[in-house]
Amino acid sequence: MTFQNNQIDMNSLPSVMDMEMISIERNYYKVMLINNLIKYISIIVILFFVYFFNTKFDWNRFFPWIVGILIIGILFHAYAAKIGFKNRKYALRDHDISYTEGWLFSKYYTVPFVRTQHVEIRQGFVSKFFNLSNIKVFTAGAGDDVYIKGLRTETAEEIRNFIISKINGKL
Amino acid sequence: MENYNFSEPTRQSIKGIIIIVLITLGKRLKQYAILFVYVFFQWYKKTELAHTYGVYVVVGLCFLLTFWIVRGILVYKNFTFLFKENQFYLHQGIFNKSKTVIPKSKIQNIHISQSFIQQLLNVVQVTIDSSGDEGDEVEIKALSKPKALALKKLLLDRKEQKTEDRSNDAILVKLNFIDLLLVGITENHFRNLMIIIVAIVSFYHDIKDLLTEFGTTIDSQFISLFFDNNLFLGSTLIILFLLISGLLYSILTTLILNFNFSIRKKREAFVITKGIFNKTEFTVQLDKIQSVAYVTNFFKSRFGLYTVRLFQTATEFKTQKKRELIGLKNEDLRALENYIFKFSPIKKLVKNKPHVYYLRQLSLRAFIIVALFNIYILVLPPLPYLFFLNFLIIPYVAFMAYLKWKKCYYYFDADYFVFGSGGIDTVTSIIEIHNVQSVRTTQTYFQKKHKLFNLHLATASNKFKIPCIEEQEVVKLTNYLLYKIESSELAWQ
Repeated sequence: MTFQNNQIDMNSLPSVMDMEMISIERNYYKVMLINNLIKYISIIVILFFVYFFNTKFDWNRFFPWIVGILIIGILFHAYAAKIGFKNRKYALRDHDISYTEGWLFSKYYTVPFVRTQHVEIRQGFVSKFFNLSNIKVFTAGAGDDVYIKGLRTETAEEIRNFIISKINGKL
Repeated sequence: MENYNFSEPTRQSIKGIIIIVLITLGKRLKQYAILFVYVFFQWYKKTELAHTYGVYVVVGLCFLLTFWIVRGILVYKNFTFLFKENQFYLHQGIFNKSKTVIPKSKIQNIHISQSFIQQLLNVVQVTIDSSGDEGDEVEIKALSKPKALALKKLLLDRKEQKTEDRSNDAILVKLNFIDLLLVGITENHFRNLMIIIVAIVSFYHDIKDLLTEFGTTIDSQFISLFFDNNLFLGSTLIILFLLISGLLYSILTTLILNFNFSIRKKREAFVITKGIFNKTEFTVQLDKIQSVAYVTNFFKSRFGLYTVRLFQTATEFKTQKKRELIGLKNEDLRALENYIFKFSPIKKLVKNKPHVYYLRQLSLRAFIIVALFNIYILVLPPLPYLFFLNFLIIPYVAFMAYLKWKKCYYYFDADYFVFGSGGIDTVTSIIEIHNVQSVRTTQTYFQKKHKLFNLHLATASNKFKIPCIEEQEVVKLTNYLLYKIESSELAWQ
């Protein structure tokens, strides 16, 4: 075997900056809102139960605090969902899949298909009504798997088939 | 040798029950040691507590003990293994039944070891190392020695020449008593020290009470006078005593656990042997190593000593810790590198520092810790003397921030990257690029203004975070890493 060690021109490599990122489905925003709403309603229901069955606790003192925290929580969540939603994007290349999200803390994941272990499609209860699915691409790595939420179910299946064909092609 | 029939479901030796029960007892004792000490302390102070609740506690403990013994018997009853048609089967679990199947070809190695209790009961433990994805190891806790040897022979039948041939193994490192002593003394005792100090501060009142009580109950006039009048001196003595015993304890454990430590080189693996009471032997397969870290500290570096961590696929941290290579010298590292990587990555190292903003981040974090602590003191004023802990905490966090900044660097080469990190310890990690599983960049709101990113790389065993790199640099590195991984023919394991 002849040994080769060609110099690589760093600027000629395909760049992650040139990727065209695709936004996830708009409807997923509604799913996020409904999910948050369900979360808060269950908290309120639990508080309600506690209120009725626990008479020793001095509720009047803490009541304004609890209501205040809940309102701030709901508003912050809604705002974060709205702003952060725009940043949820993904991109598919020949050899890898990337996903970005986050508003205060933005993250940018890339998983090469040569390191992909398996692909999973998940669908939440609320997502089902909007025909949306989530796709998770697993590596053998310690965490850091790509998890794209809010794709049309057909798109998710296409992506999965694409990745699987890529994996099998390698083997 | 007797003939054993492993094709039928086989149980462990009946003595296994004792070992199972003792192991659970040991685990629980370790978990709740602090609670026990605390309860004992309270009882010692207020004896009436012991009188009122003592019966319940004793009954409760008896109940727990019976429960554990019954559980031990059930675990024993439900633990069977057999070897049939070149597959090793293991059935276990009382309610959640589980079944493990390991094909003979996947069995890497079989360790026969004996802990102190196992020595007393005259049984051995058999550990089966497999090359499965989940790194599953099978442990059979109690077998008689001839039976264990028969099982080993059966399972390693084909590979026998390979595994038994020890004459070809070159001994890479062997530590004598003095080496070990040096390793034990130069260990990072700082963490233990901090724990002891925190414990003393939080139990300060109790210790004071105990001292005064001690002073009044002891007849000797000198001692009573001494402790009455010199509370400060008394507590200093106790602190000193605790510190020294802590130090001795950690040196002793290093000595006992690593007695006769040696590393043997095989064709595609290392074999580590060590221990007085638990004679253990570990095999580290070269192709399962995901990354390597050299660890040293201020004292160790004076003696040119290093600890080497070999990170393997899907191994828990606890087993990882057990497989550390200790007391290596510089030339041992070079020999190791030549063996694992076939080159020496450290030779032409250029240390790239992260952006200076990282130092700001670290200082801010240190400041937040101090601020939170002081707010806590202000809100809970009954412990005013805690304020003086500031004199300890402020220099500590400031120094740690400085050390972290000083020790952080990265270096990328064609096929590997080197990442320096650590606070009190100095850690040098070496990762071959084809072992990288995924690439992630993150950016906080504040980093956005400075166009800085953190680069996270994950291998199959651990993660690395290179903080605060400039945008062009991070894009360049990501592109290069992805190109390397995706174009490489090398599989990651």
